[in-house]
Amino acid sequence: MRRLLAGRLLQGLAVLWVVATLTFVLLHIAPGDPYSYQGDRRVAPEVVAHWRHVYCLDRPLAAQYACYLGSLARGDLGFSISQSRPVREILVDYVPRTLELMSLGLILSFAVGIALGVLEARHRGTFADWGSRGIALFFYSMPDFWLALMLALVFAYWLPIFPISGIENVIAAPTYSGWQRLADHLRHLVLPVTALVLMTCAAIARFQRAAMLDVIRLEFVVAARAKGVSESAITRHHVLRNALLPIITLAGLMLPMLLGGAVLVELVFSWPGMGFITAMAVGSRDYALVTSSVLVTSALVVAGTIAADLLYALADPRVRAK
Amino acid sequence: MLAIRWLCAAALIAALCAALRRFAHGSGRTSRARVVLARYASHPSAVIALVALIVLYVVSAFSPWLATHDPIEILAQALANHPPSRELLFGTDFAGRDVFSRVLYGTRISLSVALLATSISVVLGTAYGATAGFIGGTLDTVMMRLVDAFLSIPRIVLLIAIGTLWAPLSITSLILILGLTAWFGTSRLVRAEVLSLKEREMVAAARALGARDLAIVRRHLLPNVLSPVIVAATLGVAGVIVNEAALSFLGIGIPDPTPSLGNIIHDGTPYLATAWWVALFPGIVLVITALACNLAGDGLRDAMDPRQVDR
Repeated sequence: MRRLLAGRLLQGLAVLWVVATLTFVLLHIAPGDPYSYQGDRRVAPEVVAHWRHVYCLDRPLAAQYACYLGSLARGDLGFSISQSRPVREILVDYVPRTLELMSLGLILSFAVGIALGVLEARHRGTFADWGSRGIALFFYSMPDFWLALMLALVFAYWLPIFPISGIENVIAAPTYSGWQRLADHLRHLVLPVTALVLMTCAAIARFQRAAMLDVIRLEFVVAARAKGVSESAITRHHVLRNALLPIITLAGLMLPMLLGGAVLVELVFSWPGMGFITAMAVGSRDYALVTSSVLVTSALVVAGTIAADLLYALADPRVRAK
Repeated sequence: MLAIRWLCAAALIAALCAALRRFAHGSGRTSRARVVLARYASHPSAVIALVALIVLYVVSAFSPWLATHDPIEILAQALANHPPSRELLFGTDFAGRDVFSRVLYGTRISLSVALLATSISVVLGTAYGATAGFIGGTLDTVMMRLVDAFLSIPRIVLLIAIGTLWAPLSITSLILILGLTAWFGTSRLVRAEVLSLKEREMVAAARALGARDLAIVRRHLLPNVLSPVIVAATLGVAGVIVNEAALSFLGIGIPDPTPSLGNIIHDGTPYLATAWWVALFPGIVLVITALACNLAGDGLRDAMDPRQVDR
């Protein structure tokens, strides 16, 4: 177990090194450097020269690369020109909001996806199976940002049930008690989380359905049926338990999709997370902030994949024994 | 006049569908394409998807003749954010441009960009995956670790970063970056296929006959990976078209005033509460396109899988 963890951590670091090299190359071949574009603002040349010097942009390429990796290793992600503060400080403020949205979205989409997959496999070939798969594929094909826009249109403008943007009612929140404040926050979460769940649960349901159908064919299921075990008990105890394992791996694979979706969903609902701040950085051409978001999202994905692998090893004694 | 043009387009669509149907069910020499098409035709959802794709393709190819207005002409300032009516089927946007015509032209741009970008990614992914799988060893390990790293970056975040660094993007560079960031999955797929194919007897036989590596790859490996690659490309078009729309939605894709499905939605977003039609209609076309590609890809996967029993 410990060796598995160490091996996966090393692999993860190697992946992050490749991604860091990629962002370095992108930054290097892009026109200008992180401090050359100032938009409408006038920044004193001494200030620009100072930042160039701090991030070694006035040195040869090899030194720049070493310096870039060195500052990343120290957790220094550069200086954001649009927010006028270090990127790390910005991310400390915004990443937790994304994690909140993501973890809720991940848990709910797996709950919904697995339930759908089990039901579809149980009633395979019926109209319900066909319809449920069709509807799921419909939402899966939807561009995430448009799905978010339409949810906002229907459930915030036409039927004003849920708030349209932000994380809480800015005006009324200070007067709320603790519980009221939590309820208000949850109401703000409903639409963004729904968008994430709708767009991802189709893939999970599809995978779960296929995994169930693989197990249903096996002999121990036939044996259980011959013993007279009820169909629902077979589904729960024999099939589902075995078909849940491959789903853990899927959790790791789904992360890039969910994180990518979160970027645009956050933008539509003005959810102050990393995706929102990244999309905001586009207009001001904030090189340091957008490349940092590449690094941080890929680090989150790597961490998630490692967690999924460990979970798999914990859940499956066959892997643990190796 | 316009009605006649639309009737002609409908006739063309019907003729295309009929030709495909005759080819699938007709008698004559049995070719692989015919077998695949006949099997494909046994999935109703896949057939509907194919018809939808033909409709989208014909309508967007002939959009200059089918549009009711000029897509970038400002009709009248007073006509800004006009709701859908008989004259203006999908209404107008904030600048007073006809949304219906913009959607027609936008579909054309979005489809072309997606098709070109997918071609780039398919060629790249196949070449990369075949190289890694065929040569194997350390090179394979290094190449595939690189792909792992690229796959760990959410595609849209990478596209946003590239789009920001090189803003404003021309359509050519947009096609390039969409294609250059879409091949990772294909390369993995091709590598896995090549790894198993190169152990087959036909490859050993070819080698015994003195065939060179390149000839083996070209004659024996590539034709056999064609089916999964075609399926991946069909599904890939759906992904690319959505990513292009997302970039245009963020304002770093197709530049205004050229319409694309994404930037029409971008134009409609600030006015969502009052002029919902601007964001709604291009989105519906996007969903239909992506859904049709996904269904067609699934149908093709079933139709081209040789392990499936012939009916």
